[in-house]
This record gives sequence, structure tokens and C-alpha cells, in this order.
Amino acid sequence: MSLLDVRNLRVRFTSTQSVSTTAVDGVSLTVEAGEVVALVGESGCGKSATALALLGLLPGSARVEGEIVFDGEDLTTLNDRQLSARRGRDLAMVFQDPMTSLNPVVPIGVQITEVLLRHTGLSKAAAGARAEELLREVGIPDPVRRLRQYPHQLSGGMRQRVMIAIAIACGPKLLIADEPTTALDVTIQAQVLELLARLARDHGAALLMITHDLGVVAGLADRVNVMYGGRVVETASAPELFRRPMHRYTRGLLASIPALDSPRDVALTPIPGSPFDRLPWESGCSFASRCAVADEACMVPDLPMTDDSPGHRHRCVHPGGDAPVPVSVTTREPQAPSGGGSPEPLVRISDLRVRYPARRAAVTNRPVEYVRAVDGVSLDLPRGRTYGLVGESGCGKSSLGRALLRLEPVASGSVLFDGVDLAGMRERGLRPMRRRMQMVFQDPMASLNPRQSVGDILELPLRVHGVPGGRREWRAKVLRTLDQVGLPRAAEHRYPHEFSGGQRQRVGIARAIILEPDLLIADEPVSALDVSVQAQIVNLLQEVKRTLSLTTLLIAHDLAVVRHMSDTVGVMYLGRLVEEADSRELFERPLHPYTVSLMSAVPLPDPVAESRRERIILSGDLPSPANPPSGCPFHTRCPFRRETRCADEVPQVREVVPGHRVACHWAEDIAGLS
Amino acid sequence: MSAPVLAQEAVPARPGGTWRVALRRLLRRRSAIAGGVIVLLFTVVALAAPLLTPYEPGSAEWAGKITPSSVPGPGPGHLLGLDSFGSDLFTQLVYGARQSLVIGITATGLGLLVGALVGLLAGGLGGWVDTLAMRVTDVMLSIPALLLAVSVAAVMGRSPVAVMIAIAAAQVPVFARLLRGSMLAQRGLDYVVAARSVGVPTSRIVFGQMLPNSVGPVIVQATLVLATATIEVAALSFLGLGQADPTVAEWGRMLVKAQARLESAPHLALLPGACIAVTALGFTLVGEALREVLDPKTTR
Amino acid sequence: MIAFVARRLALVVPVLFGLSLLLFVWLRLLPGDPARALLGERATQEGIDRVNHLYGFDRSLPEQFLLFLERLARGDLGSSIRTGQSVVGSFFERFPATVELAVAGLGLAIVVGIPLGYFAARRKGGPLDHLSVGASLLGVVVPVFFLAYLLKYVFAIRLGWLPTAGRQDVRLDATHPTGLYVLDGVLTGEWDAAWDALLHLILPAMALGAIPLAIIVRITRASVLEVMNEDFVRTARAKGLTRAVIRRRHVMRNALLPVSTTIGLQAGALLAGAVLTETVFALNGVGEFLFTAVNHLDYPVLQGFVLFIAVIYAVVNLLVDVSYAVIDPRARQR
Repeated sequence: MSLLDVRNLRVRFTSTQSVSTTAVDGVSLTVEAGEVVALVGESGCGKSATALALLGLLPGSARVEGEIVFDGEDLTTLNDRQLSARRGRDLAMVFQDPMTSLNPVVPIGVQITEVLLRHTGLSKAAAGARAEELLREVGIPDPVRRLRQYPHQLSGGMRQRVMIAIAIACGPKLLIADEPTTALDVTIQAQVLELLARLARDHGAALLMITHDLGVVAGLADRVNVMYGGRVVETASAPELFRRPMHRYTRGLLASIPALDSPRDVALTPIPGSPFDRLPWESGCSFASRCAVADEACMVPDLPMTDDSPGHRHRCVHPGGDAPVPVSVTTREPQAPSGGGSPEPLVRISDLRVRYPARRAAVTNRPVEYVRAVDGVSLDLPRGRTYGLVGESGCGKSSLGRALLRLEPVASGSVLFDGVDLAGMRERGLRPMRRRMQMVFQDPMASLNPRQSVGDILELPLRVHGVPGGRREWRAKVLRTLDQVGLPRAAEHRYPHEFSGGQRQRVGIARAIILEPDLLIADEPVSALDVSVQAQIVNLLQEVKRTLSLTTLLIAHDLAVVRHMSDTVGVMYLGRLVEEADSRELFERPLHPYTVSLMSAVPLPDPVAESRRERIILSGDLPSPANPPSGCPFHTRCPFRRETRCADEVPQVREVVPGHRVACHWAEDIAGLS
Repeated sequence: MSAPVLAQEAVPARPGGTWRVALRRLLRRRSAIAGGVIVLLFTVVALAAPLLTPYEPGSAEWAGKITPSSVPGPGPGHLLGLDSFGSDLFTQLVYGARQSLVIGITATGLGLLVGALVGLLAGGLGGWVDTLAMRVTDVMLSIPALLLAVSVAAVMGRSPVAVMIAIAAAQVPVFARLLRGSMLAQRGLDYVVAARSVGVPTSRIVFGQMLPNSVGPVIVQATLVLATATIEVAALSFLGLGQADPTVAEWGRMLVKAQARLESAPHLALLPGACIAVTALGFTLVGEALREVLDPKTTR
Repeated sequence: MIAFVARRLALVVPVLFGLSLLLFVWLRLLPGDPARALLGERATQEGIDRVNHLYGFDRSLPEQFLLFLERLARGDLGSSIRTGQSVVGSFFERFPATVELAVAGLGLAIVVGIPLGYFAARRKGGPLDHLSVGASLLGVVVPVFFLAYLLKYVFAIRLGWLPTAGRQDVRLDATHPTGLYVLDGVLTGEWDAAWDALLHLILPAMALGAIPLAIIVRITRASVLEVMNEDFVRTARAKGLTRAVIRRRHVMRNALLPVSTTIGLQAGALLAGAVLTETVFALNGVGEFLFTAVNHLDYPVLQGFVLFIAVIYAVVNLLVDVSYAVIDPRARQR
């Protein structure tokens, strides 16, 4: 008998007007004792609703049907009081956002001991001692002090460790983790995943891992369930699923994500539409509207699960079979070799510094302390090429992009744009230059004025810059640009809230290219989008870049996306550029210890590769940019740290190998060069 | 958890700007309709006062019928009877609506105008203008609104204009803060940064982009202030700071005059009091509905 | 914590200075002649000049302001033009009545409002919720003085359950060490006096408490609803905690934060409302005195009282901020 056996689970939300929406539509899955099972899907597929249903945590407007047999007992038949006796003791949950999941006004210690006091017979003192032990177990240094602290005094990674400590406190049989690392940085994500897997193993708990990230799943899960439109569409062991994906959706998902080891010079194969363009199950496969091979056969109501091989089941009429996942459809035009043609870069940034006030005096409100967001960065953006800038949150990559456009004040340094220094320019003088440089933002909803129609949003740049031709000509240009970004012309009269995330980002791109600029800065252009939509936007950006021969600065934390799109890549850490090289060179032979660990922290969507590679898991948190470490900013976390120089001498960026610049005292030794 | 989004995506969104969407949502609320009807009714009464009653306000024609122990109640010729000075009560109430609405609306409008201007300058320009404006509003907010109004009215003497200015003055810091706060919140948003990056001049960003997105809370507040202003007009008049001319009908003063006869003729207090409360209720209902409609938490 | 209080105090001082300057300028610059108001319509120019000289109104404005500040530093706010009594003295003589009324009104509002708001939120859409939402709407729109009339008419005049006016039956001839009559009765052991004072306090407190009550109910309700949707409440449920613990530790402790801010903001409205309530129930408090001062353009009294009230208002809000910081550790750092 399985530890958890969910049979035909349905979750419906009823709103006031007796309209109900089905979030989970007949999910069946099992988890064996001690097993690690993944539930993978995009937003709105019903994976979180499934998890909450297991613990009976759905809001009152939800109706749950089906059976949830846990340890021989159907949880759906229990009332809230009976369920609450099992929650936290037998089933425990770790949530996505550790900032909001902990009570901000209650000390950490109380939040841990209260679950012990509820479910175990421990005395207050014993519970306190146990809490201390738990914090030590999840790797929080100085637990005695931490127990008295409040959540806001801990970093994101630490908070998630506290959540994990709470979850394992009573030795649960099943640990449910709902996107436990999505809110965290890559290097912290690696720590937390490793911790979760280890603790589940040590405590003999089964782990149900809910995520949208196939990479996270590959290295961790024994078995994978793929969800789409409220149902499990495919289930298999992890190696089997990644080797022989059957369902067209699974295959589409795998084809659409760039990986650190996938071929670079190909366009991604996106899944058209958005995860919300789907059909209800009653009318057939819900993926049919986005599927390239769908036909009438897919329109049979209530498609059953098909056994493909032992343990591998799917719900697809036209399964992929053994054919390899189609990765390339159109090959990208080979890059014209750079260098010889135009030696002068479009943008030359020298010793750029950006700072923000960190603390202000009480009465005068004058800043008394600064965060050095960008701390002396020099780099060139070669014409017609894409420069990828990577780093974790707070490393200053976005500040650099904004300062380049003078959207943030520049503290010192220069930004030469086509030979003109933008850094000291007045806003009035800058305005004509703005026509030549544009930006695409991370959050497509926030970056569009909600009160303007798409037509007005796109016309504004033309109007502001007095593009000749008048309204008639402008409108024609707006329509042409809509074509160019793949939006229907009718979008002109629509407002931002009427579009899906991917479509809004297309509007954002249209606004950026309508003036036909020379430079495009894309700040995390796909990170707010669903996985299956990301590939569409990546391809669109590649295409407009080619047709307009744009110079692009791509700012992103996703190494795979950066690798896929960039010609040159720079890595930032705590406001400094630590490494820069040609994309191929950098990913094949990273020289800075930070780059090495960053790459090793990225999970690969391939269980085989994942199990073979050696991972470096960085210890500790990102230091505060308000108070960076002395010497090399990375020395506090560096696995290759040496006694001399690292802590007291700031390493300068230098060319270690031709075309490969690194800011590390020991780069040659580490890479085995010299 | 984005499951409930499902239905919204499936339903084809009706086209329209956010203002039109808000209006449509507003008209679907019963409380908003009720509030609107109340406000409309009192406005009509105030405008059509001379048509509704054959008498002049404040004419103590029937003073002779008043005795220390009794005030004639409803009867022929006098729908609601007389007041304690021998005027027709209905006439007083109808003309009282004029006073309350005119003073209340003008005061709110004045407070809104000045407050919004200060808020706009502070939020749009920043720097020392902002600091100065905020320090001054700090000081003004450190006195309770009614007390501020009392001090202004005390200094300016007894006139409707003084009452208007008094009530408006008390609202200026509130509107200024609100608009400034809402503008500052907009300033950090990406769409404003996007407008700057496109090269839109600052003044056009402030007026064309930030302002339209910031006025929501201010409009809501203004509607709610209409209710408070109506009450404050009466309160000032109750304290003897309102209209000095005894022939002008005013609800607050009617209440004061009724005090002496609370035992024998409670309706003399009840009716003007109810008029104040119902008018305030009308504005509040509309304001609350507007708040819910314009609240970003309920708008998707 | 101490640093936090010190920082908050440092912010109050400039506000109070600005306020005294503002008050000063505005009372002097706007039309209206106190001497004439004092001496009446038929005053001679000579008499007016004498009064102006007596009160320093004939000096230059900066001089007058410096004089004012200097006396302020000595705790001297001058004396009433009308009665000649010292402003500070008359204030403290009448202040206890107002404090008693305000505390009773606010206390009533808090004690009734918070539980009502909580249960309305828990049973959202239920009869109690509709009732409290409706009642709180009424509380906001019914003018304080009108409500005072209504209560007086129904409970005192018609039903005769409670006294119509005053703070205590004068025939009791009770002693008043603190000026807070109910407390005085308890302190001196004159229980009948305490009881009588309490009966006198009920109606005014209800009238005055109505608006804060309505607002506290609404804010509590909204805040509880919001907190109940927070992730950490879901976490608390996922831990299997009992309802009592979830309510007390996770819901209420967070939901009370906006409520405490609201209570602070209500302090101002409460003082203003006290002026009106005192008038209706003939309670000899600050409000009544201020009312008289307003009608006689008694500048020193007006100026002194507004300043006093601003100080009290600032102190109350300081206390609220401190209590906020006690509940919310994040606020201590700001």
C-alpha cells in the first residue's frame, strides 16, 4: 500500500455568482514511503491547489471531491479538527515564499516550538532545546541567537531553512514542498534543494516536490508527474521521463527550455499560446488548442491514461514515441565574425559607479550611508552583438542597465554611447539620444500604463520624438510594429489588462523597437513568464535583434537563457564585474570561482547529466551590498579562497586568457593554467 | 494559486479603459445606486426649493402660534408644522439643503483644489518643495480637523465663506498627502521608468502618466469628505460659528434651536438631524463603493 | 527601543514649534480685533489702545512671537482676555472632565469594536457581519451632537433611566482629588458618588464613542480579513495549530497593527467630538471653555488650548507608535 494515494481528486472554486471554476480535474497520483515524487506544471495547472487539498488548506470557497488516502485513512472524510491533529505531525508543508510564510511579529523560536508543543508531549524547555537542535540541523549558525530573532532579521535562504525546520520538527511521513526555491537565488536554491533531499532521506520522509522547473526535478525526483490543465498528463520515473517523454506537452516543455548544455545556434521551439488557452477536459485533451499534431481524435471527452511501459503512463492520443525531442526547427543564421569590421563599440562603460541611500538621518532626511550597487564596472557593448550580464539578485546588474540609460543617477564614471558621454549630460540634452536606446522590462504588467490603450502606448514614443509623418503615418508604424512582434492588429484598441503575460511582453518589445533604436536593454525579459511562453519571447527578441541589427544588453539571472542569446557574457557579483568572455569560452571554461559555482548550482533538466556532474554548493548567504566584504567581495563564500591577498586586496579585472577577463588573484592556478 | 484566474481568461474581456470598467463595476453595486439616488434627491430639493414650498425661509410669520409649552405640529398648510420660531418647518428643511450642499460641496472642492495642487507640486517636483509641503501638512495634521476649522472660523468671523474656508483648510493637508503618496508610489513603477526611457519630458510624465493613475484615491477621499463636510457645516453652526443671518435656514442651527424643546417637540431636532445623516450617508455610500471599485486589490 | 522613542520624540519637536508659529501668525494676521470684541461695539479708540498695549498687541509681530515663546518656555500661556484667569490654570481645571469623557468613549469603542470587528470578519456575509457593517456606516454619518440629542431624548427624557446633564448630582457633595469623578469616588471610597458619576458618563460616552467605534469595527474587520488570507496563517494551519493559537498569535497580533494606528488617529476626532458632546450634556470640560473662547475671540485661550490639544494629540500618537513597535519588531528599525 502506498503512503499517499490520491484518487480522482477534483477541486472546484465557487465564486459568488454560483460560477465555479475547476482547478483540479481528476488528479490521481501515489507517493510511496520514502520516495521523492515531483509534480511539475506551469501556473494555473492546478499543482498548488492539489497540494493544498492534501492538507485541507484550501479556502472555504473550494469544493473537494475524490479520495486522498494517506497511511490507510481517507483524509477527505476527516473534519478540520481531526485533520489539524495530523497536519504538521504526519504531513508537513514548505511553501514558496519564506518571507510571507512566516509570521513577521512572532520570534522564530516560538514559530518552531509551537508546532512541537502542539503535536509532541515535550515540555516548553525541551521544545526550546529541540528547536535549537533543529536549527542546527538545517544549517543555521548561532541558533540560540536566531531563536530570539524575527523573520525580517534573516535572509531569504535562512527563512526557508526555518520553514524546513518547522516542517521536519515532528518527523512527518510526508513532506510537501510547493515551489520551495522559486523565490531564491540560484546558489541559495542549490543549498536548499540539497538540504530538503538530505533531510527527507535522513528522517525517512517521503517528499512531494511541486515545481515548474524541470531542472529542479531532474536531479532530485525518483518519479515525475506532469500536470496540465488540472490533470496529470504523464507520469514516469525521472530518467525515463527525460529520455522518452511521451505526451506532446511534456515534449514541448522540454524542447522550449534552453539548457546549459543544449546546442546554442538554434532557435527554441516554443509552445504557441499561453497556459490559459486551454480546453475543458469534457471536450477532449486540454492541450489540443496549443498542440501542433492535435486532430479530431484528441477531441474525445475524458481521455484515459495509456500505459506505455511499466511505470510510464500518459494521456496523449499522439504520443511522441522514441523520436528525439525536436530541439531545432530553424537554425540561426551564423554570426558574422566580429572584431575586424567595426572596432569601435557602441557603448563603452568606464569605471561606472551607482549608489543608493541606505540610511537617512532622522530629521534632515539626508542620506548618511550608501549601498554601492555598481562599484566601478568597465565594459564594452560591441555593435550588433548581444552582451549578456548575469548575477544573482542585488549584484547590481539591473542598476547598471538603468544607469546606462541614465534612469538612475550615475555617481561617477563615464558611459560613452557612440562616442558621446551620457553620464554628465542634462536630461534635455539626453532626450534626443533616448531615441537610439530603449529598454524591455521584467514585469510586463507594471511596465505598461494601465490607462492607455496599446495603440497609445506605442504611439507615444513616435509623438515625443516628433517622428515625421503625423498621426496617419504613426498609426501605420504602430500596426507594422504589432505585426513585427506577432500581435494581432486589433490589439491597438485593447488595454494592457486584457492580455496574457506573454502578449504584454510583446507589447513591451514593440514599444522598445518602434523607434528603431541602436541599443536595446532587456532586463530579465522572460523571468516573469511561464516556462512554455518564455521560448516565444526569447525567439522574438532574437528575431528583432537580427532584423533591426540591434546591439543588445541582456540582463538575466538565468544562465541558460543568457548562454542561448548572448555573444559575450559578463558575470557580476556585489556590484563588480568578476568575469567576462565570449559566451562559448565562458561557459566551457569559467575561470572565476563564483562563475564556476554559479554554473554548478544551475540544475540541468537531464537526470543523467545531473547525476554525473560534480556540484559545488556555496555555503552562506550573499553579503549585504551596503556592507560588502573587504578585498575580493567573493572571498567570504569562495571555495578556493586562500590565506593571502583574497581578504585584503581587491582583485582587478585582467585578461587571463586572450579575450577572457577575470577578477581573481588566483584564476590561473584554479583553472590549472599558468 | 492562480486557479480562479481561469474563468477570467476564458471569458473574452470586454474592451474599455480602466475608467469605463470602473464605472461599469460601480453601476453594478446596489449601495452605489442607493447613495447616488440620495445625493441626487437632495440636490434636486436644494435646486428646486422655491418650487417645493410657497413660503420664504426664516419668515417668522406664525410666531404668534408658538407658546412656551407647544409648537404646532403637522397640519393643513404646514406639512411638518412650525419650528420653534414660527417658521414653516418643511420650508426650513428644504432651504437647509441648499446651505448644506452649497457649503459642503464648495468647501470640499476648495480643499481638493488646493490640496491636490500642493500634493501635485510635492509629488511631482520632489526636493525642497516636497520637504516644505510635508512639514507644513505635518503641522496642520497635528490639530484635529474640526478644531482647525473652529480656529479658522473663529478668526474669520461668522459667515458662510468663513465656514467654507474653515472646512476646506482642514482638508487641504489630507488631500495633499494622499495625492503625493499616490504619485510617489507611481514614480517607482516601471511604466513611469519606461516613459522616461522613451524620452517623455518630465512634465508630460507627471500630468499625462502619473496623475491619471494617482487620482483614484483622491476621488474616493473627496466623495467621503463631502459627507464629513456636510456634518462639519452643521457642527460649526451648532457651535455658533455658521451663518450669522438668522433668516437663512441651516440644519445645524435648527438642531441648536430645538434643544430647548427636546422634551415637547423632539421632531424639531429629529428631522434636521436625519437630513444631515441621510445626506452624509448618500455621499458615504458612493464613496465606499468607489473605493472598492478603484482599489487595486480588487481590480485585476 | 529607547532609541526608537527618542527618534520619534525628535520628530515631534519641530512640529510643535511649527505649530506655535503657524498659530501665532494666523491668529494675528487674519481680520478680527480682540480688543473690540472684548470692549464691545461702542468702545473708544483710547480704550482699545489701552487693551492692545496691555496684551502686547501693539508691538511688532516678531517681538510678540518672541515674547510668546519666552513665556511658553516658562509654562505661561498668558491669561484670558475675557476673565483674566490664567490659560494654563483654566485648562487643567477643566481637562479632567474631558479626559474622563474621552477615555470612556474610546474605551467603549475599543472594548466593543475589536471583538465585533473580529467576529464580523470570521462570519463574513453572515447576519452579524451585515449588522456591524451597517451600524458602522451609521456611526460615521450620524453627527455626534445629533446622536447625543437622540440618546438624551430616548434614555434620559423619555425613559428616564439616566441623568440628562452634568457630571454628578451636586447634592452628593463628593470630594474630587483627581477631577476624574468616577475614579475619585473609587479612591475616596464614596461608592455612591462613583456610581452616580458613572451613570452620568454613560450617555456622553456612547455619543462620543460612536464614531471611533464604527471606525474600529471597520478597520478590525478589514484587517482580520486581510490577515486571514496571509501566507503565514496558512502556514500556521499547515502546522496543525489549534484555532485558539492561530487566532491569538497569528491573526490578531497582526490584525491589531492597523487598528492601533487608527486608534491614534481617532484621538483628534475624539477631542473635537468631546467639544460637541460636552455642550449637549453640559459637562464643564475643555470643550465648553474653548467654545466660549471662540465666540469672544479670546486669543490667548484659543492659542493655548489648540497648542495643548496638539501636544496631547502628539503624545497619544507617540504612545500609539510605541505600542506599534512593541507588537511589530519591524517598526523598531524605522
